[in-house]
Amino acid sequence: MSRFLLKRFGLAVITLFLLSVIVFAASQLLPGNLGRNILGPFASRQDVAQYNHAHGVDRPVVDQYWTWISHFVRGNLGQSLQYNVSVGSLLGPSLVNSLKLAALAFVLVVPISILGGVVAALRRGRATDRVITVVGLSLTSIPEFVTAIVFIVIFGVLLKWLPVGAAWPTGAGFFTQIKHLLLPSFALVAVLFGYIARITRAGMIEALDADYARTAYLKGLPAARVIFRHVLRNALLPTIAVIATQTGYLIGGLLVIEKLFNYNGIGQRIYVAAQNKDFTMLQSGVMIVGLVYLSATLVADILYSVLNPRIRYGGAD
Amino acid sequence: MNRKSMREADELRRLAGPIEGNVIDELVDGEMDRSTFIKRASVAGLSFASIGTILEAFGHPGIAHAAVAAGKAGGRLRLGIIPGPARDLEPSAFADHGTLATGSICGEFLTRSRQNLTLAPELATSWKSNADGTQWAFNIRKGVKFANGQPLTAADVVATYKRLTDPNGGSSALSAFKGLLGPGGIKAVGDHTVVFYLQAASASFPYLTSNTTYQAIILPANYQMGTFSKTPQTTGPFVMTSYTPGVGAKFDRNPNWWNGPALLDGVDVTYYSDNAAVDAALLGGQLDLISQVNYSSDRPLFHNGNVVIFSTSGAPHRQIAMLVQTAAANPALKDYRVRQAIALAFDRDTAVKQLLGGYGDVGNDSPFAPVYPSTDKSVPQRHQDLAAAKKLLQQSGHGRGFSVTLTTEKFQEIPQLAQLLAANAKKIGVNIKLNIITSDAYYGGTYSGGATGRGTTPWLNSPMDITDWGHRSVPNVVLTSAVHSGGVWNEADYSSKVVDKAIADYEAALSLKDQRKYAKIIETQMLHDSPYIFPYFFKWTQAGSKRVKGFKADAIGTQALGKVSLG
Amino acid sequence: MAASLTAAQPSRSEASLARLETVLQLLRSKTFIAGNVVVLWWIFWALTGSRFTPHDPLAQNPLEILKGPGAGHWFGTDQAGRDVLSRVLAGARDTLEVAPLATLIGVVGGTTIGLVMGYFGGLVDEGLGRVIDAFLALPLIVIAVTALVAVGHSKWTLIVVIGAVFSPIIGRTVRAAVLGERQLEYVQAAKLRGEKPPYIMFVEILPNVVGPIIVEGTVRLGYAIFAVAGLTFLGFGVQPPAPDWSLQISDNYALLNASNYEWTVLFPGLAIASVVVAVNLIADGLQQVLDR
Repeated sequence: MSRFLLKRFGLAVITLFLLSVIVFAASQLLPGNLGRNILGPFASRQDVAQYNHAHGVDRPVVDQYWTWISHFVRGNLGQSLQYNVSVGSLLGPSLVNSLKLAALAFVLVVPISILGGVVAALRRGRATDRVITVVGLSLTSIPEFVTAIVFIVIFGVLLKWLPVGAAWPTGAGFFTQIKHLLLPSFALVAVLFGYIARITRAGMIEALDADYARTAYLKGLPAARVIFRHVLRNALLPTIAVIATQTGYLIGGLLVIEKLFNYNGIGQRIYVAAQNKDFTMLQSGVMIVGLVYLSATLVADILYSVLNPRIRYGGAD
Repeated sequence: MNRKSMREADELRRLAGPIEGNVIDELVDGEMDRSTFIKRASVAGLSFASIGTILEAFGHPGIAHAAVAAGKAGGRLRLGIIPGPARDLEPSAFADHGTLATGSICGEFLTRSRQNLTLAPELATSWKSNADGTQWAFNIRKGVKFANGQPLTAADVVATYKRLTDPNGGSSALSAFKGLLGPGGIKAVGDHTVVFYLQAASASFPYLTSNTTYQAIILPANYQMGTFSKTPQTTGPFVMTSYTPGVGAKFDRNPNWWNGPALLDGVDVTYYSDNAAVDAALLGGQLDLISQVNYSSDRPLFHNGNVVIFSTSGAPHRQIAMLVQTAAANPALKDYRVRQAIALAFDRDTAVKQLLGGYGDVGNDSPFAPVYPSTDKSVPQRHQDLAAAKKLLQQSGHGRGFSVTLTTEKFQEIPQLAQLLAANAKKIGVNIKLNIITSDAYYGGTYSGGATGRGTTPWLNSPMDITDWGHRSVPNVVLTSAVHSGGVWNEADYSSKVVDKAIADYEAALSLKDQRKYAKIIETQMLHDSPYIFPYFFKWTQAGSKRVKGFKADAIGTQALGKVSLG
Repeated sequence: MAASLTAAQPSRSEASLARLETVLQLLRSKTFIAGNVVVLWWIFWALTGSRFTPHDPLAQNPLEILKGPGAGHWFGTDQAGRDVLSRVLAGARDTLEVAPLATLIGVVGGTTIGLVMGYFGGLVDEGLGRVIDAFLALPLIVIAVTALVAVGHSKWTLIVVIGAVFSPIIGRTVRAAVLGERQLEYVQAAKLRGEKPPYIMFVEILPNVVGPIIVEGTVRLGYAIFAVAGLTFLGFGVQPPAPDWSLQISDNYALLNASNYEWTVLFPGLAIASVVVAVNLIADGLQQVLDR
């Protein structure tokens, strides 16, 4: 087990290094001259050269990469070019916000969709199954911005049940924060429900059809016990993998939702940084999103192996 | 006309400086109506009391001293600013709505341009020019304190204006003061007088000290650039207590406000980037006021019984430019008759009605907006005339039509304006192809160099384009930068000796009579040459809930909330 | 007679029989047929553009602004007085141009990556696998937004960017399929014959992994439509006045706050959903038949 963990961890570190190279290389691709972009078209050539020198973009690329990554590792994310304050002070709260929204969305969607998938699998081919499948497919097929808009109009503007903005007033307590996050979470639940339920249903059906389940039934074990002890455990394996891959989407990939609900999440920060060519913020923001995703998949991997002894000893892939 | 006020007016006339004298004379000569007189006199530095006296003396109704209904004190106003600041909050570098709207909640100016383009005293109590309008002396209000208790003196004003006019300080106000005021021309006389020594005569200089130059927030002499968002020292009704880029800001009542205290306990600002989100927040009861709304992007707020629209006439506008010469120009558009034909084909009345919901005034293809006192309104208004347009096309040899590409930005109603123009032009056989790009791309690229000397930026190098222009209290900046042949923002590459000369004369003219004379020359010549279509001038619109009392929108977008209350 | 023919060309007729069988199975699949009917409907409108639409999708009518659905305008009109039905129909072109092309690029790139990884294995596989992992740690929309800001956005950048992001994803699926083929006799035989790796990969292996590639490609097409919709909504991609569906939504959704005018958003939204559902149905049908 510890060898497996060590290997997984080592691979994650290598992936992380590659990610940092990709992120850095991509931001080098952004065209034009940093000083010119920031100072504007009317700035003199000397000013631009001076700015570039001050920000070190006239140094060799490897040098720049090293400076960036060594600072990043130590938690120094540099100054935002756009706002002239430290990037960490901006991205920190945004990341926390994103994690809060993702957490609530998960707490809502995981039980609902697993339940949906399990019920659909148990009622395979019957009306319940059809309804769950069709509802899931329809919700998943409508872009999240359409669902979000519909929710805002119905629950926020017409009925006024829930606040339309996800940002809560400063100093708001736990429940107020949840109240503000409910609408955007609903939109995310709508998008993810069909997907997770579908994977769960497929996993369930496979597990129900598997020999061990049949054997257990034939041994005369009660159905509930078979389902909970044997089937679910195996059926949920693919679901765990799917949920882990959705973390990337939920943290960083939500810029449409964050924009619609005026939420200061990390996706919104990245989007604004990209638009305003705020390189330092963009690099660190993207890197953090990658970091969170890789951590989530690592955790999922470990969880997967704990639940599935075959993987634990057989090595990955 | 009673004798007492007649005598007082005469007295004022004698005491008045030459510019004020001109203004009074024009009123007497019947060349100015009452409202124009008030505008002009206030710029020249006559106090409102004097203006009232003069008006009464000459048989006009005086200025009603509308009793300001005392609003209910208390509460925090929730203001949505859209879009939020795109840059660091540094007053001298303010260049976008988010920064200026935020800064204006706590910051104050020497003077304030009011809704009807009259100029009111703020941190200056009075101002006066020398005989030829090259020196302006401003008396600074006594007893004003910055948030930290430090008193306001002339030295603070001098330091602020030196920062704004420093050619190497990254100031965004440089273009406004260019050719008019440099750091060497700002001098303190004693503790409470500042004299501006101008490089050229200007009758309208006081406007530049108002919120029109939104960078000109008076800051302490020892202010360090770049510290505004952390330790802001301002004189206004509120003090900024926290600021989070891209998220929001908080303001508390300034106990030391000279004109106060403010009715509100404070202001909570949230930044938005999405119109629907900010509209929903107002309609959903999470906001009290929105910093700017636009009929095309915030339509649900208009004609809504629960929403109050605060509006004021102004000069923000769009300019449809047709490149008249350079290599990039469309061959057909080099002919003034073709440009006239397109201007005549355009249905500006429909544009105002449909795109602005009526919140605007039609333009007459020059920067002279109806709201400016110097505009000569005797110049005939251009309306859609398809027959005349077709005839002009025939005469120019393009009777069978031609194609041209119009490049513009995806910003507010501009794409719709472009589509309306294209639909109108089609009726006379001109095929306008649209290339609609983001504002970033539209204003991107270089502004000088290259084959034409105009760089690569789309907005200076497209055969046709539409550009958004902000409000100006006087048309001077638009005239010198977009119409004058040497202008840096001359999108049409327009060059007319007649107009160049008239612009110089206009700027030097001190009397309204002379200004109108040159305005007429410019208006007439621009109608003939038609390098630009000025489709309309906007009213500035903001939206709020019915609870917001005592708020007056201004055309620049500054948010003056000192006298606002929540009912 | 029949016997001799069969004897003469045994493999080909067997293969064509198998293919016929596959097609028949597909034609028996209700989901596959339903999906195709919807997609064909939209392809028809994509091809004909504005030729058969009741109104010109770009024609503005200042006198008929925001008219509700009714006679003359079945889906109502938008803020510029344009016919929403015509815009929804003509809008098929933008969606059906960008998403499939992007998917195609992803399929071509992914197939190449997958063949190389699966065929060579070892360090090549491991190395590329790490890079792909690193790349896929970022949400599609983040990569796309950054790239679009960097390169400047146009329809073609959008297509290439989404295609580039899809390549490694599809590459993984193809790799898995190739791994299964690598040890099979025909590959070993080709190696023994001294065939060059590109020949073995593209001529010998590729035809045998076409099934999974088609299924994966169809699934990706659904995601591509989604990604294009999201990016267009954010202002990248097709620009106004094009009648693109997402563009219609982003132009009009602020109107919903007035709690009417919902037709300006509802119909383009349903159009997107119908295509995504249809593509998913096709993918399901293909999966059931081809993955066996």
